[in-house]
Amino acid sequence: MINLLMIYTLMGFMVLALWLMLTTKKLLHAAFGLMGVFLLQAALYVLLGADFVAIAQIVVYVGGILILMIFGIMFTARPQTWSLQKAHTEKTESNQPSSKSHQNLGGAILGILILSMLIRLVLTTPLSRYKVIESAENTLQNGTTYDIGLALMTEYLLPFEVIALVLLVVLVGATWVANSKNIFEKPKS
Amino acid sequence: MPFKTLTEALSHIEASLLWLQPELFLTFYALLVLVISLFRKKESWTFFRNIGILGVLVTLGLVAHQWHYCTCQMDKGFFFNFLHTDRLSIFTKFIAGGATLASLVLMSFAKRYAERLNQTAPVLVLLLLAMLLALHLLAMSRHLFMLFLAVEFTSIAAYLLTAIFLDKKTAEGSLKYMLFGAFSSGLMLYGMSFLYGFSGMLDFGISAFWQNLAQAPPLFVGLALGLTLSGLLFKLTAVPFHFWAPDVYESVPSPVAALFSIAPKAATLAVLVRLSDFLQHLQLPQFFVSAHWVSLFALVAMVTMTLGNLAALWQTNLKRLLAYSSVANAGFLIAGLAVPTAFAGQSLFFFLLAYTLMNYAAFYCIDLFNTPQDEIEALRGLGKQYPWQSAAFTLTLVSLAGLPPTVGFTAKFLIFSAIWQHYQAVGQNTLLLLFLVSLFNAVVGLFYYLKIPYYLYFKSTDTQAATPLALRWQTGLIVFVLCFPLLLFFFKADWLMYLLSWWMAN
Repeated sequence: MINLLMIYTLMGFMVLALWLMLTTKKLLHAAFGLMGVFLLQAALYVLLGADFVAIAQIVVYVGGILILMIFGIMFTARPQTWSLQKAHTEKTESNQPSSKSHQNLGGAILGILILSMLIRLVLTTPLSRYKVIESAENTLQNGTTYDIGLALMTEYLLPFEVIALVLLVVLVGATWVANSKNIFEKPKS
Repeated sequence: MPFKTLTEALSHIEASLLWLQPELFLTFYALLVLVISLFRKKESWTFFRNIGILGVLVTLGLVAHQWHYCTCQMDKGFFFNFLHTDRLSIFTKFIAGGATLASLVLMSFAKRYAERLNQTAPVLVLLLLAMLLALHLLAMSRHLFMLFLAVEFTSIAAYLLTAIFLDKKTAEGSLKYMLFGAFSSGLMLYGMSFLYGFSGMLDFGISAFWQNLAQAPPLFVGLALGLTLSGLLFKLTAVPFHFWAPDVYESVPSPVAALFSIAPKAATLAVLVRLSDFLQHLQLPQFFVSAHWVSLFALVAMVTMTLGNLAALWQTNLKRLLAYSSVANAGFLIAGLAVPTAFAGQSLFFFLLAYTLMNYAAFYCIDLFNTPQDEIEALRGLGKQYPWQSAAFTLTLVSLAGLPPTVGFTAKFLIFSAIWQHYQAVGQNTLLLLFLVSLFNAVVGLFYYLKIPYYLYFKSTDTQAATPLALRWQTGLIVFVLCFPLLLFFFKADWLMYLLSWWMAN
């Protein structure tokens, strides 16, 4: 009961943080709102018994991606574009307003269609048929980190290692591309 | 595949490693190249090329060793059913390895890349090896997770291969490539997440996966399967996932463009053929009967070959023309895939082999003529001055157009007869339509392929902009090696067919 109460409280805070993120006109405030969402999400995961996902959430999203975003904002943006309002008006002035509203309408229709399909799908799915959910509920008692660690080193060893290789190749390639900016200034035949 | 104890799981991994020898070797070799490149920064392209060639040759040897031990009796899924080894995947690995080897060799025989190659040597070789590894994994995958990873790995290696020659054109090409790739990967992942939700598993090689899918609402399953296929169609350059191809082919050196147009397609075809193989041999619910697949693939094939050919008609750039021609040829490959007979499978691989030969020859001929910006205009009147080069180019294009006496004719003929035979056996109208559209496209192809010989022989000019390579013994030998099989396998098509059936016979 208390658990459920806490979950709903956290969800309420999450909605507030999301609201702040979406409505604020300052980019940094939006980033902090996003941080609130991520942290509350991690707390939700803990309450739902997914401890590993919670830790990953904090390490990857709060510690990595969000910091990167804030760095990006602070290093690249000029102070006058920190306000979203200005950037938005600058952008819309340069665009053709008619084609933009046209695109918005199409996007809205597509979005509503997909949303209604998804809602229908969720409502019609008999969740009891999925064994995955049951087995996940059974592991709740002793925490998930142990099982995930074992799975990564046995059943999912191959994808785990392949991901490591992909990251290595990306790192090497990205370093190369970032480093060798001035080699070929003028286009060759 | 749940294992009771840890020891059992570990011994399964140990047993699976035997089937991963070429991939393990490639991994360690690529790391070795990385380390060498740190210490021998000043080395030229030739040094790194030789290292790369050695690596690919050893890999090919290990693949051949695998082929020797791959028999019908063994359990084909390994590594917890992430991977699947059969004659087909080994065949694909051979094509990918051969293509990488050919690219490495051919790049040295075009003077115009010399400066670029020396600047990018270590990372170029490393990325080629990484792409080969990714293609190996793609050719073997039978698990949606592994499939996604392999497609991503291949794509990322390809984006980087496009991006490393930094100039304006490659920047544009690689960015377009990446944006399209990211979009279609996103679609694929979205579809896969639905498939996982419906079936509760990711291994598409067991019938439970399909049984569970059949219980879900058919509309959503169809949508999810379509989304999943879109990632593979992107690698095949099928319409509407083909927009990146001309820009990318235009900006990379032609041997790399040839590699892009062959190797990922071969590996993706292996996955699709395996998929349709599973669909035929597993006990499947009515929903997945082959007629649906036939219509789906036939539709994609018709759209792809028609749009590819029509777009190719307007091209003035040689590489863009070949890019659209590769889109059109992807359509023919998918047409072969649409027909679920053994003969069609064999024709498909015949076409793939023939296309590999023709495409490498065509891309090398572009380097041979070395026209500024690869414009077709600049070929005016070169036919009389450079008879041998022009003859080779003409022969290649005649083969691509599918006229006798070349292997291109035999390949197209086999695909057409496979479609026709299956139409007569089943009487499905889609197949008749596919047959007619393919015939129409073969005719459209003539116009733009033969435009080039027309410029070479029948147009003349006073100012010569192109500086074709002189035929010394090395370039002459390469041209001969690339062009001779085009003639040989027309007259002795049964040799290639025999080779294929011997290869695939388990």
